[in-house]
Amino acid sequence: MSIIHSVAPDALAELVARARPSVVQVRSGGRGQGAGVVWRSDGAVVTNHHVIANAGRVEVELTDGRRLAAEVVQRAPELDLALLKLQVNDLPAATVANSAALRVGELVVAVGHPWGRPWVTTAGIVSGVGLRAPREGAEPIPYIQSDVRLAPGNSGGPLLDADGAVIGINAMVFGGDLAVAIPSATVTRWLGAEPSQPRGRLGASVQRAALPAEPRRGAWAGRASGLRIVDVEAGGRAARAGLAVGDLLLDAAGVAIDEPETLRSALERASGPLRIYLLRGASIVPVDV
Amino acid sequence: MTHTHDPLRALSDRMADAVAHARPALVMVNGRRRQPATGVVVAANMILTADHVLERDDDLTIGTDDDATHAVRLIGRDPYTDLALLEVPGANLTPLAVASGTARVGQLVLAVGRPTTGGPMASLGIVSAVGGPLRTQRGGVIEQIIQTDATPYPGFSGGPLLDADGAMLGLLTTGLAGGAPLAIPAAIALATVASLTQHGHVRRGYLGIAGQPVELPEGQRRGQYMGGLLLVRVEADSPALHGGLLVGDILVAVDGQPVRDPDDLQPMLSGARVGTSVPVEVIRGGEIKQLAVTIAQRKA
Repeated sequence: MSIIHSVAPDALAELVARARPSVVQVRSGGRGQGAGVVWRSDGAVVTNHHVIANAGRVEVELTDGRRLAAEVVQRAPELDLALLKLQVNDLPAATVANSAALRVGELVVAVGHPWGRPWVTTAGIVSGVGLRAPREGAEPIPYIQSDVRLAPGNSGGPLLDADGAVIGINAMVFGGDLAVAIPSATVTRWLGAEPSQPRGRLGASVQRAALPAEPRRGAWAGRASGLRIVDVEAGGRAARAGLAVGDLLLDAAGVAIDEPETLRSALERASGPLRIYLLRGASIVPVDV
Repeated sequence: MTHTHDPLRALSDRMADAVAHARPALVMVNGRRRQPATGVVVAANMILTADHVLERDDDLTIGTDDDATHAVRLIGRDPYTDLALLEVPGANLTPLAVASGTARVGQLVLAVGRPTTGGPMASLGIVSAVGGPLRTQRGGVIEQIIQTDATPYPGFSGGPLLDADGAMLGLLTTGLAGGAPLAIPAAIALATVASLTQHGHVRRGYLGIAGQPVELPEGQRRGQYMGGLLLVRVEADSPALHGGLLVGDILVAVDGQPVRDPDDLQPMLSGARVGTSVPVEVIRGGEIKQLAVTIAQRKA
């Protein structure tokens, strides 16, 4: 973007020059191509699942001109992520930042191959961060939305922060022209680099209950039901967060909770405190669990 | 902030700081069936938003940065300039700082909004143009208007356009001119706030005429007048009718100022002039006639 270029022309050029060797082209079966990020020097490359979805053979091209065969070793269609393995040990690994610290308004830069033009840079800012289900009934996915211009060919490429570190993988999880990226924290967790811990337990018993008519106003107008807390385990997450028997849980990080399953998956996906809205008495209040 | 030696990190931090600065003054406005829109805190208990995002006068709520929901009361709305003022009874909210000076073309701006419960949203752009007066699609005139290339996400109408310090340059709306992202300059929007606070509506003068611009052929020019407004309608019980204006008259001057176009009348019809008598000149049957019209209040 010209604004950023005018503020810091060399700085942006240097950032892209540093990040570029870690961005690869991913080709599958001759048709279509996407981008990928060198996650580790031992040949681990992260890309989008839709880039390699129906591929027989996957080939990766590096900035140094090498073309290498790749094996798909891990897939997550719901996150639009795939992990490729190349048989080399000298890849320039990207610096990965923790997306949890990202703020709305921060500068972001995408590197990819839009419309097949290799290694193209676009820039913008973080427009929003959130959690959203890609379709009705599906598990919600954490995402970073930006106003960076993305096109087919950016898929699987990095979204970089102002330090040139990867804070997301550009993806097409929601369809349409929404520029979204899967946050690096989600990618890292998916790759199992973080010790997984049982997150899904709230330490409370719940049952489905209708939301009374009175609080169904404004943002809550469309909600019909939630989960009523009927028991709280001593010392559990719910107890520590101050949840009480009688509270009616309605929403976790923007997702309606009306099934125990939705609550469990929201708890599993939250990397930090999970904000839950609940009806207590006549008020809808937020509680961080 | 760290890495401030690096210009990109410094720019990035500054933009994120600007959003953080505006954040407490950004509210979600629930006043229509589809996606909520945005409002901006202009006084401890006052929210300015866009008129077109309110589909109703009652049962309005806002969502604030502390995730609370408040019932709000409609103080007044001005469909002509797409502004509406809401009161949050008993609230003690933090008003957004207003930018000093006017927007400059090329200036870096952030469009911000709170269309969901998921926190504030932002997009980056520049001031593309500062122009006006703008005749709005609902028949108003806004003296000056800011155009931006920042992405207006759904529900951004009623939110502020910020400068790099997070101060309000203007109020964003896509409801003025066919969906284009425009901002009403803060000074103009706040003048409307004052009027809505005082009267519940914006006072505007009214003559009760419809006219079309005409050139006067050389033989029919009178005085210094080369053209005027050919009156094609004079409203019943209107100031123009009481003042003696007739369909077919060519209105050439109001209060000593030449009139060539309907827009020329707007500055003469400010709210402050309601109730005052002004001299008007028309050409009727080839002769100049002096009349007087008492400007009335335009009904909202």
